[in-house]
Amino acid sequence: MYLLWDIRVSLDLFLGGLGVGAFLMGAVLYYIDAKIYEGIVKKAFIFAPLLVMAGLVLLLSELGRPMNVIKTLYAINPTSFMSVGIFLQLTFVALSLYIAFSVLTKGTVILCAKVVYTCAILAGLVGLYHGFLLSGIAREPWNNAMPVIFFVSSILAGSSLILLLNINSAEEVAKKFKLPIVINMVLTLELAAIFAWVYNLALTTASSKHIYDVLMSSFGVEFWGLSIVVGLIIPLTLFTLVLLGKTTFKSVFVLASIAIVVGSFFLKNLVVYLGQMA
Amino acid sequence: MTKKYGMIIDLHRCVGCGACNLACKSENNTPVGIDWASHKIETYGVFPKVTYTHTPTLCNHCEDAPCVRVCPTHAMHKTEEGFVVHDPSICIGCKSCMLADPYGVIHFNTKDAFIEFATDTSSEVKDGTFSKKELSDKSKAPFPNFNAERGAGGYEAIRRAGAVEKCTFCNHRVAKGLAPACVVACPADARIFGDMNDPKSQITKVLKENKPTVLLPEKGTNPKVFYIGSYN
Ligand code: SF4
Ligand code: SF4
Ligand code: SF4
Repeated sequence: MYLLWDIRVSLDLFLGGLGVGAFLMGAVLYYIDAKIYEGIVKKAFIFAPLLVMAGLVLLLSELGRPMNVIKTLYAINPTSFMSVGIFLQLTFVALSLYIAFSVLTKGTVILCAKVVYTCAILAGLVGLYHGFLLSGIAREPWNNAMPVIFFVSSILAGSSLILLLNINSAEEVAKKFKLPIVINMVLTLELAAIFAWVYNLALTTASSKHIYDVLMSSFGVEFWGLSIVVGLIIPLTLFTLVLLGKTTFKSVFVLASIAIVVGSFFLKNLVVYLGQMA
Repeated sequence: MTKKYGMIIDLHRCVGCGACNLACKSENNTPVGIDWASHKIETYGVFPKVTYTHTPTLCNHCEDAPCVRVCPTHAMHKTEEGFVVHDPSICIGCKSCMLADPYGVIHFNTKDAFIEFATDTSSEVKDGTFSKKELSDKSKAPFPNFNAERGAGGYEAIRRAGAVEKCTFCNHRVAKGLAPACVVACPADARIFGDMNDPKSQITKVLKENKPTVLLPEKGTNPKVFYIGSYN
């Protein structure tokens, strides 16, 4: 099948999601105690713009006339989520690069809290934009569950990546913030959002029912296997075992975090692909 | 009062000859594989009681056009007369319009159209037949049937790679008081084009006298291409 949006769009949404998720995790720890969590905050603030920029480069390579992107700065269409999203992403990249540069050269203590706050709001908006970009196009599978599914997936994957980048301090953070409970709550929220999406597809119109059939019959491995079991059920189970005292956070968090990141990519890629089959 | 152009296609008159398709290609310099005027064929029934319909299609110049709504640069936009047209000079080639258009009438140029007429020097019979490049050089045009008029108003007469294109309701012809090429070429007079805001126009009268239908009314796009009659 000829795809209008190929894997580069999925990668942009995935890497962009990792970036904003990482930034939000860094921002939370920065506000709790910038000194204690300096190492984690630093990595989060440095990786965030790099990930978002990597996604944007891939997206640019997918455009037919990438040089014209500069024209989106003055030929603005307020009814287009992409038009608004380009502004949000560029502003986020500029501000987060400034923060990354400051953190690299002067450390976290010197950072202006208001700038971090503004950038965190931008990160949240960019995370939501990824879903709105799809739901705004209004193809059958890209319904109104998209912003929640994409945003929650980005938060999960971004914060998991930050845990993986801070293996030594992850356990301490997990203990202090009861991470297994928090992550399990967010994983459950994501499962609920995906359930709402699929339920909506299965029950709404003839064409949405057709898409539901395609999802179940042709994409079972990608949906049930990689997105649901790997991305959500395995980490949910592992963290539940931690809560039940059957295992330790230290022994499962690497596997669980990798599973969350991998699952986030497969889920987003599947949604982008499925929308083009409608 | 501002003009509001629309088109009626009388399916009872249409003979399915494809003259509209060919006229559109000549008028608008569209390459092989890109047809602004097209058609869909649907087969119904159970053998031996089988029938089919032939429905000519083109851009519906929707009043509530999703392609215009999603375009990040206003490259896909609406003119005062209600034409939904495209400006390749500000198109980023994101293909959002193609994904948003429920009718599948927008096309993407993966390469410069007719580029083979500038590069292909091979000929079927060496020293016997013209190569594509020679044909283009001899006719002093980008390709032999080139219509320079399509470039009126700054529009790319032949679209380069990386942008989209679609039916413009022949806005370059309408600006000169002419009917669209597909309307003129139709041997069965199945197409009526005109200003729907003019109570005396033929389109207004025919719309009043019939019960017109549109494609995918459930999408809420308010198309301005109407169908009357039945193919069978
Ligand atoms: S038919 Fe498609 S391309 Fe034409 S105006 Fe409607 S949505 Fe846009
Ligand atoms: S491909 Fe061009 S016309 Fe279509 S939405 Fe993107 S910028 Fe607009
Ligand atoms: S109105 Fe013009 S551009 Fe549109 S299908 Fe007819 S000939 Fe082609």
